[in-house]
Formats: sequence, C-alpha cells, structure tokens
Amino acid sequence: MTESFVKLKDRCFVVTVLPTLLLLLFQLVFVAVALLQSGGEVAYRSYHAAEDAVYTVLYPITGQLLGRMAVLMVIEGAFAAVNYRYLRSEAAVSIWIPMMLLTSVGVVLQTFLNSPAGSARHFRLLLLSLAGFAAAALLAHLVHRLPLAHRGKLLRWGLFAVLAVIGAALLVGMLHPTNGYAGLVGGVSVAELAKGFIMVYVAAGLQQMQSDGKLRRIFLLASLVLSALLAVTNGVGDAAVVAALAVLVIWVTVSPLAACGVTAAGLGAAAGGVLLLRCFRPDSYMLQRIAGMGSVLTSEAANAQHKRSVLLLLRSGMLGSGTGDTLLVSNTYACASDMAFNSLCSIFGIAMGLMVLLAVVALAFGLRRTTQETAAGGTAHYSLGNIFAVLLLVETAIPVLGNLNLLPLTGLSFPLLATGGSMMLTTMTIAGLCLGFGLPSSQFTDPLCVKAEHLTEGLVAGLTVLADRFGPAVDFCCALWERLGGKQVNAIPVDKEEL
Amino acid sequence: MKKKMHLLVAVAAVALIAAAAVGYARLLLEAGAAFNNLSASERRTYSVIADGTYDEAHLDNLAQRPVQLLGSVATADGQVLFDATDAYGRTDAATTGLLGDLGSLAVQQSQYILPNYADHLLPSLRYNAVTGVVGAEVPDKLTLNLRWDLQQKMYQALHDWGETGSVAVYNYTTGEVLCLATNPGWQAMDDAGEFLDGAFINRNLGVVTPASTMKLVTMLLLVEQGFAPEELWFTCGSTHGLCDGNTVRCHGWHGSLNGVKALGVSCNCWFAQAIECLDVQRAAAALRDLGWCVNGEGGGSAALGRLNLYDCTVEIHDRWDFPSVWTLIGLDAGLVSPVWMMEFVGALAAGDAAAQPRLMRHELPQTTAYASACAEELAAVRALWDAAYEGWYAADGAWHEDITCAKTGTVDQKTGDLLHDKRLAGYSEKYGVAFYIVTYGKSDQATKGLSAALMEALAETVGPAA
Repeated sequence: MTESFVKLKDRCFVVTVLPTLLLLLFQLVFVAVALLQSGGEVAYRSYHAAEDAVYTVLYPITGQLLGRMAVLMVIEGAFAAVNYRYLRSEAAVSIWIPMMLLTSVGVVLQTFLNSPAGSARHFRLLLLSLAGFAAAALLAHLVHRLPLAHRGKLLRWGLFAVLAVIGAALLVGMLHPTNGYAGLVGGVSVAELAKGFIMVYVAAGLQQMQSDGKLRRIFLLASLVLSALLAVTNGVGDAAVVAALAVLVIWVTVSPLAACGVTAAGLGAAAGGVLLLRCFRPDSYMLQRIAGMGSVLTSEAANAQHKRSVLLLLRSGMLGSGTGDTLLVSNTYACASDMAFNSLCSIFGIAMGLMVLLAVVALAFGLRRTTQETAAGGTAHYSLGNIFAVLLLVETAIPVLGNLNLLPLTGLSFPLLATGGSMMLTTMTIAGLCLGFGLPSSQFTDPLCVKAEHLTEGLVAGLTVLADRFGPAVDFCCALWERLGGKQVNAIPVDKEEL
Repeated sequence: MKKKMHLLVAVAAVALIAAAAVGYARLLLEAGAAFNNLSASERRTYSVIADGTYDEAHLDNLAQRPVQLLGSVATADGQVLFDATDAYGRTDAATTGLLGDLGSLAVQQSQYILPNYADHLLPSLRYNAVTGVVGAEVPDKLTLNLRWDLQQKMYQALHDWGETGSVAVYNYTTGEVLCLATNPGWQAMDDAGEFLDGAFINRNLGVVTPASTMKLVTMLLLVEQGFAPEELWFTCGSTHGLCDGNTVRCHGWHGSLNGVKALGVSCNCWFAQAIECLDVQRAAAALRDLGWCVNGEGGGSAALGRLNLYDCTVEIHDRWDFPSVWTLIGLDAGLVSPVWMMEFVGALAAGDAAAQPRLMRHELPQTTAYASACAEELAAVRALWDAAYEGWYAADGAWHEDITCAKTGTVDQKTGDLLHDKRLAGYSEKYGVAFYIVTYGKSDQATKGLSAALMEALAETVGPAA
C-alpha cells in the first residue's frame, strides 16, 4: 500500500502510466459502444463475380475487433511498462499516446468500413508500421551516436543510393502504372517509399545540410525532381508533402524568408501547371478535381463519390449515425482511404472528428517536444522535431480539407486512420525517428539497459566498419562530391553538443 | 530561429483546426439546400436514414432494402401495383413496362412511372444540422386513371388471340387513360443499339407504322386546305402513277369514288390523287401544328404526363413523289405514337371538347391542344368517317355494335401472306372512349376480335358514359 502510494507520488508513474491507462479505458469504452451499436455485425456490399450480382452480406466482427484491440492494448501496456521501467521519457508518452489513440480509432473505423480482407490488411500494415516505428527509433538513436565523420560519409553514400532507389522505383511505377497511378509497385507505394527515404535522410543529415550548402542544394534539387515526378503521375498530395518538406528544410537551413520565397515560387509553378493543363489537357482528371473544389454539393462537375461522402457526413448530423448504420458509408468508394475523415465523422459524429484532429495536433507537439527534450539534441535535432511536426499537420490538412471540400482531393489519406498505401508506415517512421533522437543515453542505467547500450555500441561499431569497408565506393562518391564543388568530408563544422 | 519554428508549428496546428471548422460549417450551411435539390434516386438513398434502422430481413440484397417511407402506386379501381411498405415493388405481366425501377439507372427511364413520379413516392427530407436527416413527409399515394380490371381483360384478350400488340383506351372527355395493355413490351436498346435484358417498355409508349389509320390524318389535311372530300371524285384502276415514275398500288379496283367511299374501302389510289392536290408546305405546317415532327422539324412535346413519348414523324419532299405520298397513305417511313393516335381519334369524336390523355388522377384535365383551332375541320372529318363506317364497316355486321366508328390499317409483311400487322383506330360514344389497337403478324380477324373484347370489357368494367 505504502509502496503503491509512493509510486503514485512518483511523477514518472503519473506521466507515463496514467495516460496509457486512460487510453486503454477510452479504447475499451469505444469498442464496447461500437459493438453494442452494431450488434456485433457489420453489413458490407460484396460483389459475386460468378453471379455478376452484388449482395449485402453480414459479417460478424466481434471476435476480430476484440482480438485486434487486445493486441494493441498489450503493445501499449508493454510500451508503458518499458517506458516507466527503463526509458522514463515523458516526451515518448506525448508521441505514443496520441499515435495509439489515432491508431485504435483507425482499427475500429476500418473494421466497419472495410471488407474483412481489407481491415485485416490494415491491421497487418499497422503491425508492420509499429515494427517500423521501433526500427526507426533504433536507427535514429544509432545515427545520433555515430561519429560525425562516418555519418558524413554514410550520408553521401546514402544520398546516391536513395536517389537511385527512388528514381528506379518511380521509373518502374511510370512504366507499369496501377489504376492510372504511377504509385504502386508490387503493392508498395513508390511515393511513400520515396517520402520515407527522404524523411530518414533529412533526419540523419539535417545537421550536415546546415553547414554544407552543396549537400543542401543536391537534396533540394532531388526533392524538387521527386515532387514534380509525383505531381505529373497524379500523386499531387504526395508531391505537396515532399515540397513542404523541402520548404521546411530551407526554413531551417537557410532562412524563413527564403522558405517563403520558395513557397511562393512553388505555388506559382503549380498555378502555371494548372494553366498548362487547361490549355493542353482540359479534360484531365486533375482539373476535374480542382473544378469540384468548394462546390461539391452544387456543381455537376463535382466528383460523385466525394459528393456522396459529404452528403453521408451531413446526413448523420453532428452526432453521427453510429456503427449500426455503416452500409451506405462503406458503399462509398475510397471511404476507408481518401474519404476516411468524412466516413469517421459520418459514423461517430463531428466530436470524434475533432478528437482525431486534436490527437494529430498533440502528436505534432509530441514530435517537437521529443527532440527538444534530449540534452544531446543540437539545433538540428530541435529543428527536426519541428519539421516533422509541421509535416504531419500538412499531411493531415491536405486530406481533411479535401474531404471538407476546401481543397481538391489529392489521393492523400489521413495519417494513421486510413488505409492508404504505406502512409501509416512513414508516419510511424517519423514518430520513431523523433523518439530515437529524443532518447538520451544518460538514462540507460538499468542493467538491462546497459546490455542494450552495449548492443547499441556494437551496432554503431558495425556501421562504422561498414562505412570503412565500403571505403572505395565512399571515396569515389567523396571524390565526385568534391569535384562537384562539395566541401571536404572531414571539414564539416561539428556542433559542440554533438561531441 | 527556434522561436520562429515553434511559432510555425503552433500556427500550422491552429490553421488546421480552424480550416476544418470553417469547412465543416460551410458544408452545414449548404446542407439544407443540398438535400432539397437531390435527384429522386439520391433522395431515396438518403431517406433510408430517416427511420434509423435497417430491417435485417432485407439485408440479403441491397435492392430490397426497406423503403418504408415510399408511397404506393394504385390503379383507379384500387389495385396496388407498387407498395413500398409491403415490398420493394412488384410488377406483373399486365403492367409490364409501365412501372420501371426506381433505383435503376437503366436507359429509357423517361418512359417509366416510378422514376418520373418519384417525387410523389419519396419523402421530402427534413434536415437538422445536429441530428442530420431527422424525418420526412410521408409521400402521397399515387393513383393512376388506369382501370386494372380493364387492363387485365385486354391483356388476356391479347393472349387469347395470340397477339403481339397493344391496346390503348382513354376517355376522350375526361382524358383518363383507362388501359395501356401490351403483350409483351418492346425491348429497350441502349445508345449503342444493344438490347437491354429485361428492359421492356410498354408498346403504347413507342411508335408504329400507322398504315391506313393515317388516312384519317390525311383527310384532315385535305379539309384544312379547303377540299370537300365527299365531292372529290377520282378513279381507282388499282394503280396510280406518280410524278417520279413510281406507282401507288391499291388492294382492289374501286372505279370512280369520292372521299367517303375512299375512306370506307381504304382506297390507296384515291388518296394518292387527293394528296397530289395538297400544297406541300401547308400540309407540312398543318402536321407540325398537330405536334408532328416533319422532315426533322417540330415535335418534341409528345408526352403522357411526365412519361416521354416518341414523336410522330413523317418525311415529305418538295413534290409529291412516291415516298411522300406513300407516307401520307400510312406506309413507308412515317411513324405514329399509339397514344397520339388515340388522342386524335378522341379529338375527332369530341371536337374542341376533347381532353388530353392523362395517366395520373392528380393531373388536371386539359383540352387537346389543336382541337379548338381546327374544330370545324375535325367535325368535317368525323362526318366523313361516320358515313364511311356506316356505309362499309357496319354494313357487313362484323364489328361490335358499341363501336361508333373505326378505321383499320394493314401493314403488308409479304405479298400473298395472309398474316399482317394490323392497326385499328376507333371510338365508342356509348362508353365515351377512343382506342387504338396494334397487332403484329396475326390474322386479319384479330382487330375485330380485340375490339369486340374491348367493348365487352368496357361494358363490364367502366360502363356506359354518363
């Protein structure tokens, strides 16, 4: 009793464990209400090719929903225990809680909107993303501890590799487009792949870019090319996100004024692109999307499925129609991906919509807090948290405002909530990177953590050896780099805090 | 720099929430008008929420989702053709091609009752920003003027005679359409000319070659141009040569005859010579005044209430060559709508008191558009027709006594073939009805038999006119 009381008095306990308990309580109530409203079954339209007929089929969902939520809760509990016992990071909680809140709402939403196979795929992707979250956190922690000289070598080597992979993937995507998009190769979104690489690269190299103008210019040029490629292959939303990332890097590494200038130039280029489309391809799909902006309920040119999703949102009012009435919503095309926000509000009401937006905002502030918290984080790490925070807000604003008809629909889906390509993976990668940078090694005092520390050091040593083993390739890249006018690798000014 | 980045995140967060609030509020403001302006099928979709729940018994098929708030369609004698409270809707052989499918987007929807009168069947949605679609006005019961018993009897008569065809009957003083029997409907085609499975449309709403029933119209053109057909004598030698070297053939050798006898014996040669007397342009203008589409001009207003009808069409050249003459005799490329012909017969019977056919009870009676403008000409043609019927049709005693006037038409399928497509236009003063019967490829006796069956059915169902 006394020990418990002491624990309760422990600020770390209150900050790390209590939010998790509240999260678990919310999830239990949310799932219980959803199951009660639906009666444990969900109606879903199913096409039977043999009969060329569409049937409405009732699926029992109680077992799978409870099972999935149980897995999530176990993971959440484990994270809370590890955090309380070993990490003792308040910032980790500020990332983890809103992230899992969004994730659990997404799991319930997908169960009611997606086919059984679709919602199962969503959950598998979620588990993969959580693994990506952990891997990104470890990677960020390793990169953070890597000697700067080796980090510089790896970055240059990695930049060429990243650009080659992205270029090849996009080329394959353009040669074999799926459903008119150059986005999917073997079920993996090239756009997300590219975004993921770039984010990792920004995380690892932001500090170098602050001092190495050439590296920065190469990165920005690569981002520009990628953004343009995504835009012309119908991935306008992803193009906007990559462009936003580039602008934020300029904001941090050059100046806010330069970032504003580049933003204005980018908007001008987008307007020019729209004008060119109007002249040469007036019937293009992209123009149709733009034409429907702001007038989905009144314009005949508006996208029919978008209009349907908006009407279903309004039909349910502010209170939502409940999970007992999801058939019409789930029968709307892209309800579980592009229209996920409208679908969520239609079923659970505008209060739930506001809650997930606030959760995104909380997650964004969590991302910037994490990288601020670490004592080892220099200006670059501080900026990294801010960059990813703004990026997350931009990634959320594009689909939400598209759903609410203030922006054209771009194909971008709500982070963590929707089934959309591999966006969940990249979003959790961002969160993992920020968390990794935010885990100071000074807190690794537990015997188990000492082992982990040794393991980390081993991995760091391995990476160092790896960088050295690829010496000729790295030397070639460096020589090429220097020939192009880049600075000497070892001449990078080192942030004091890094040492 | 740190401060600015901090500010950037805060601004982005506030902007996201504010923009979402503005977007949602804007949609809420437009919601009421949006729900009021929904199309019929959309209104049906979104009205389902009004009762809040699904009937799980119907969940096996989306098309059978309960639609409790939809109204019903019934005939004048109380037979329910469609009742949404009972089932999604039902149709049977006797009403094939009339109701259509409310939820379907199939082509030719313009000729079905359900999609065109959906606003009477669907609830008016009421919208509340807090609770959404909260309720709806219960729709009306839609009542047709159609008599179910008469429809059934005529459908059965078509079956008994083994006929493919149709029977359209209406009360020419009230405009009530009493029967639109068809057996079966004609199969609709899509824009590419492919037949659509199961999309059968009532034959009465299509168009047919009028055959000699067209001669009633031609007679009106003659009167309208100042000719007195009963004083117009021509000689029929079974053929008549035209200006383009072609020959109009007659089914007999009628000798010298006037318009009355020509109408009675349906003499093609007399009509060919009479048509040659007409002014081409005036004839074309008169047909357009009757609502016809002549040489691609005019028409476009043919409708039975909200059901679209095909225009009556005809091609008339600058001179009376064979196609032009043959068209006004009732063959070649001319086409008429059975409903229009029925109304025309009604106008002949009732003059300027004739009413437009109306399928729905709630639709107000309107007089036939052209009846008052050419009442004298219509009366003159009626007198000619009466005389011709008395002299040649009624004389052989083969026609039912309750028929006041009738005119047959024959579309030859093949020379020497005894099976013909037949038409019969007529009216009965006793029952106050005009009718138009179409049969395909069966015996010459079919029209007599069907018209007799119609008179007997009218006696049993509608009864004599007041």
